[in-house]
Amino acid sequence: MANYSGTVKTVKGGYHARILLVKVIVYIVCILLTIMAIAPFVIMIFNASKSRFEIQQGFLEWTDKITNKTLISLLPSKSFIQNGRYLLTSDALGLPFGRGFLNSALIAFGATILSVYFSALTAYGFAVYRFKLNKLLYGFIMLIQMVPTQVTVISFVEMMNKWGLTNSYIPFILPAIAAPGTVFFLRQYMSSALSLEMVEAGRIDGCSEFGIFNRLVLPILKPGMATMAIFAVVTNWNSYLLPTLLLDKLEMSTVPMLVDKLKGNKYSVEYGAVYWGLSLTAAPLIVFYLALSKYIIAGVALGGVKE
Amino acid sequence: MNTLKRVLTGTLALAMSASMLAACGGDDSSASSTPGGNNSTGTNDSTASGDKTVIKVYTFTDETQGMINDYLAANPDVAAKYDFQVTLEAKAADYIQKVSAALAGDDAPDLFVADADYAQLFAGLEGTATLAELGVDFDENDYYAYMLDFTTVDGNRMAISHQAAPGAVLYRTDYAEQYLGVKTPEEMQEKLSDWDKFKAVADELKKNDIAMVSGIDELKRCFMANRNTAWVDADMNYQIDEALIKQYLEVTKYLADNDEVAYAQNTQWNPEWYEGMKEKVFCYFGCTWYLHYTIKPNCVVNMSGKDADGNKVATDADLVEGNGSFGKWGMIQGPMPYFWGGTWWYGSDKAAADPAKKEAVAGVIEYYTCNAETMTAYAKKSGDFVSKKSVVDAIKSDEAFKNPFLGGQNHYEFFAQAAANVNAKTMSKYDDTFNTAVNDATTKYVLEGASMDDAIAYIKEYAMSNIEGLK
Amino acid sequence: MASTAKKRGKLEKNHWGYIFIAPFFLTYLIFQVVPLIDTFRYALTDAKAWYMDPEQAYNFVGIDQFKFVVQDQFFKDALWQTPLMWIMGFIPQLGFALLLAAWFTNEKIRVKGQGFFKVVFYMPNIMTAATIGALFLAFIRPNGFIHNFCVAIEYVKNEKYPIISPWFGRGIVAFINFWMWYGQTMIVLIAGILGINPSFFEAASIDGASGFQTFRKITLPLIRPIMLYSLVTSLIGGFQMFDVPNMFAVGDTHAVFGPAVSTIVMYIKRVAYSGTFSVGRACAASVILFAITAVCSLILFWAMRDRDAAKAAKAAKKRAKELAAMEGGNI
Repeated sequence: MANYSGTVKTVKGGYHARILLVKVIVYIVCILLTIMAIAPFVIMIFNASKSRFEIQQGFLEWTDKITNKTLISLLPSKSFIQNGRYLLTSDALGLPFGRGFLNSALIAFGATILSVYFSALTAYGFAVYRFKLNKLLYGFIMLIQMVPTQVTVISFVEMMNKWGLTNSYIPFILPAIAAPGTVFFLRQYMSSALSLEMVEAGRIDGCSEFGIFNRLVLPILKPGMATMAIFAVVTNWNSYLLPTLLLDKLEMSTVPMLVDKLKGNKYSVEYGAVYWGLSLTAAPLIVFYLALSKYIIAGVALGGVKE
Repeated sequence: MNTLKRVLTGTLALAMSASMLAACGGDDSSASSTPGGNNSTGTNDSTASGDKTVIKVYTFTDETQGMINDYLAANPDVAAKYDFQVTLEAKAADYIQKVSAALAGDDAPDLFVADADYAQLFAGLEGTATLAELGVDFDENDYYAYMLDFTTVDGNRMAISHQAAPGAVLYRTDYAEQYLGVKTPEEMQEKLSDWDKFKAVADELKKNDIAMVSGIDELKRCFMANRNTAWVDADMNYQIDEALIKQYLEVTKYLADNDEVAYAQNTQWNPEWYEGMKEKVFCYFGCTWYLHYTIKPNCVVNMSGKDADGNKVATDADLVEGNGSFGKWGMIQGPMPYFWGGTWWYGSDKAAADPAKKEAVAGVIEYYTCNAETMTAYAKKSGDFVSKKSVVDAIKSDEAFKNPFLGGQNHYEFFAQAAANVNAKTMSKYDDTFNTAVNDATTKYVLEGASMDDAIAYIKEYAMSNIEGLK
Repeated sequence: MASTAKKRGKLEKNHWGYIFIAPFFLTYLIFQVVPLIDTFRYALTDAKAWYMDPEQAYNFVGIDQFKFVVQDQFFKDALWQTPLMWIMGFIPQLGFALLLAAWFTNEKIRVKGQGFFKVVFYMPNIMTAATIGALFLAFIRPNGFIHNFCVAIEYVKNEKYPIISPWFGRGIVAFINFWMWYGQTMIVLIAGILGINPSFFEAASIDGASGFQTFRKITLPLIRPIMLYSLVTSLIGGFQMFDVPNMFAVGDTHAVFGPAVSTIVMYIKRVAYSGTFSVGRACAASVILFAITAVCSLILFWAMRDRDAAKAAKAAKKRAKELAAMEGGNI
C-alpha cells in the first residue's frame, strides 16, 4: 500500500489518468444504480398504460430471440386512460381508491400532528426542567426506542377488540402521542436550538409555562419538527400490518390494504389496471418525496430516521 | 455501565407499576371506552339511511348484493322500511376474521353468509342466532340432509343454505369432438370415468396443445370431498385418508410433469384461471353456482371496440354463442361425485333480539330458502340449483333449464341426480386450514420435487401449527 | 433568605416537567406497556382471539406454548429465514453504501450531481413496502418481465411454470430490502464521514496518503460506531420483516413461494388469526421475538457506550499519527 502511494506521486500523468478512470467507474456505477432505482417505477407506469393484450403479447421492444417473448416493452399506449378510468370509475376492481387516500391521509396527518406536538412537549419537559426522575425517565425513552410495535401487535389488537375500537382510526392516531424516536431527536435538537435564557425571559414577562412552550419555543423548533413530521407522515401512510388486523370495512381501508387486495383480485386479470392501481398508490408519495427531498435527505443525515 | 443499570432498574420499576395498573384497570377501561368506539364507527354507518332501519349484511360473494336487490324489488314495503348495507370481503381468511370479530363486538352484522369451508365455524360462534330464534320456519325433510346437519350445533339448526352444490366436470364439447371424437356427454363420461382414463385423455389433448385443466389445484375440491374420514375427529385427533391424498398428488404431478396443465401453479380464483375459461383449457371442476356465477360470465372474450367498462364484465348481451367459448361446454359427473360449497345464511343474536331487524332478516332467509314460489322464481332467473327438494323436483324438467351455455343440456336434471350422491360427513370446521395445507403440499410435491412422504407429513405439520390442541 | 425563595420557586417550576412529559408516559403505558405485559401473560395461557372467546375462558398452561413454538418446524424455519433474508440484503446494502459514501466524500473525485444521486437512491425507501412487494410480485408472475426473462434463459422449464425456487423467493425479498435501504445507509454514512474532524484528512493528505489508505485507516475506524448503529437497528428491523414477504406468501391460493419466505411476524399473524386463532401461542412467539430484539438492543447499548466511541476515535487519531509518521519520510 505504501508503495502504491509512492507511485502516485512520481508518475503525475498516471495519477490523473487513474483519477479519471475512477471517475468513469464512479459515474457508470451511479448511472446503473439510478437505472435500478427508477426502472421498476418506469416499468410500472408504462405497463399501466397498456391493455392486457399488449402486456401479454407485447410489441417488440426488448424481445428474446429464441422464445420471441417480449421482456420489457417501453412504448406507452392509448390504454392508459382506459385502464385508469376502469380502475377509478367502475366497481370492476371493487376497490374505493379515492376513499383509501382520504383514509390514509386522515390517519397519517392525525398521527403526525399528535406525535410531533406531544414529542416536542415531552422533549421540552426533559430539556428545561430539572425534576428528580429526569435522567432516569429520559434513559427509559432511549431504551424503548428499540421496542418494535410488532412484538405487541397481537395483544394490542386484542385490547382494541375488547374496547370496541375496531373499525375506528383511534388505535392508529392516539398512540402516536408516545413516539420515543421523535422525542429523542427533538431533545437533541433543543440542546442546540433552545436557550434557557429565553425561557427565563418568558417567565419574567409573566407567561405561563405552557404559554412559553406554545408561543416562544414551538416557533423555534419548527425546522426540527418539520423534519420529524415528514417522516411521521410517510411511516403512518405506509403502515400495513395493524390496519389489516383492525379495519374490516372496505370503505375504511387504507392505501396499503387496497394494494394487498389489488394483488389477489379476481379482476386482476386486467394486468394494466393492476399496474395502474400500483402507480396510483405510488404517485402521491413520489410527488411528496420530490417536493421535500431536500429536507428528507437532510433529515436522514441527521439520524432522525432509524431502522 | 452505571447509567445502563439505572435505566434498567427504572424500566423494571415502571413495568411493574404498569402491570399493577393494568391488572386493576383493564375491566373499567373496557367498559368506559366502548361508547367511544361506537361513536367513531356509528357515524360511518347510519348517516345515509335516514329513518330506515339499517340491516347490516356481511358477505364473501358478490352475488349477495344482487340477491338482496331482487328481494327488495319484489318487496317494496320492505324496501321502504329497511336499508340493507352489504359489506363484501372476498378473501376467506380475512372474511372469517372479520365476521368473528364483528359478531363479538357492538358492530355485529344482522345477516351474514358463509361458504362451506367455514360454515361450521360460523355456526359455532357466540353471536350467531339459531334459525328458531330468528323465526325461520322450514320443513327439515324437504332439504338435502348434508346441508342442514353441517351447521347444526347441539341440536340447533344455525344456518340454512339456499343452494345445494353438487359438483360436475365442465368440459369443452368442441375440443372433445375435434380431438377425441366424442359427441355426447355420455361418451365423455365414459372416457373420464376414472383417473387413469382421465390421464389418458390429458395425454391425447396434449398432442393438440390443449391443457387438460387450468392449474395444479383444480382437482383438489373433487378429491377432498371424497375423503373417507374427516381431517379432525371429535377428540381433536388428526386423521388422513392417505391413499386418496396420495392419489390426488400423483394425478396432479402427472399432469404437471407432462405439461398438461395451463399453468403449473395454483390458479383457482387467479387471473390465469379465468383466462383458460376462454380457450385452451379442456375442463373445469365446477358445481352449481360455479356454472352460473363463475364460468358463464368469464368464458366470453373481451370484444374490441367496446368501451372499457362494457368489456370487462359480461352483460347478458355478451352471453351468446360465438363469443369466447359460450355454448361450447358440456357437463358430466366426472371421475368422482363431489360437492363444492353452498351459501349458508345466518342471523346474529343482535338481529334476533330486535323485532324489527328479526323480521327483515328472517324475511330474506325465507325468501331464498323456504318459500317455494320465490325459490322457483330465483331458480329460473339465475339458473342456480336450490336446496329445497320439492322445488327441484317440480322444476327440474322445465324447458327453461335447457342451458344455452351448455349447448342445450338441462343442468337442473343433471344436478338433481348428482345431489343424491353428495356426502358431507367428512367436513370439519378446520377445513379452511387443511385447504391451505394441501395447497402447499401440492406445490412441494409437484413443483419442488419433495418426496411423497414429505408432502404427506407437511399436511400434518401445518395443521398442528395452525390448530391448537390437535393430536 | 432571598436565595432560598428563588430556589424554592425554581423547584416548583421544575415540577412542571412531570406535567409536560405526562401525556407521553400515559399514552405509552396504555398503548405499549399494557399490551407488552398482556403479551407475556397470554404467552402462558391457551387464550384464543377475543372474539372467539369473549368470556376469556382460557387456562394457564405454563410454558407449554413456548415448548410448542420452539418445536414447531414453521417457527424454526421463520427463525432462520428471517435473519437470513435480512443478511442477504444487508451485505450488499452496507457494501454499496460504503462504496458510494467513500466516493461522494472523496475530494479528489468530486462527484458531480451528488444531490441528484442521493435523491434517486433514497427514493425506494419512502415507497409503501406493500406497493413495492406487489410490484415485484407482478414482475415475477407469468407475463411479468422477470418471469419472461427466466423463461428466456431457461431458468424455468417453460412459461407455464412459475418461479418457485425457495432461494429465488428469499433472494428477491433480500434484493427488495437492499434496494429500499442502501440509499438510506449511504446518506447516514456520508453524514458520519462529513462529521469527522477535517484535520485528520488534512494530515493524511499532507502526508500524501492515497484515497484508499485514508479511507481504510481514518474514515472506516471513525465511522465504525455509525456503521454498528446502522447494523443493529437494521437487524432489529430485519427481525420484524413482514410487509414485503407477506406479499409473496400469504396463506392462500395466491402463494408464490409458499412458506419459503415466511418470517417470524408472519408466523405470529397466521397463528393468531387463522385455524384456532391461538393468541396464546402467537404471544409465546412474540415473547421470543421480543427477547431477540432485546438482545440486539443490548448489544447496541454495549457497543455504543461513549467510552467505546471515544476509544475508537482515539485509536483512529493514533493511526492517523502513525500514518503521518510513516509517510513523513517520503516528503
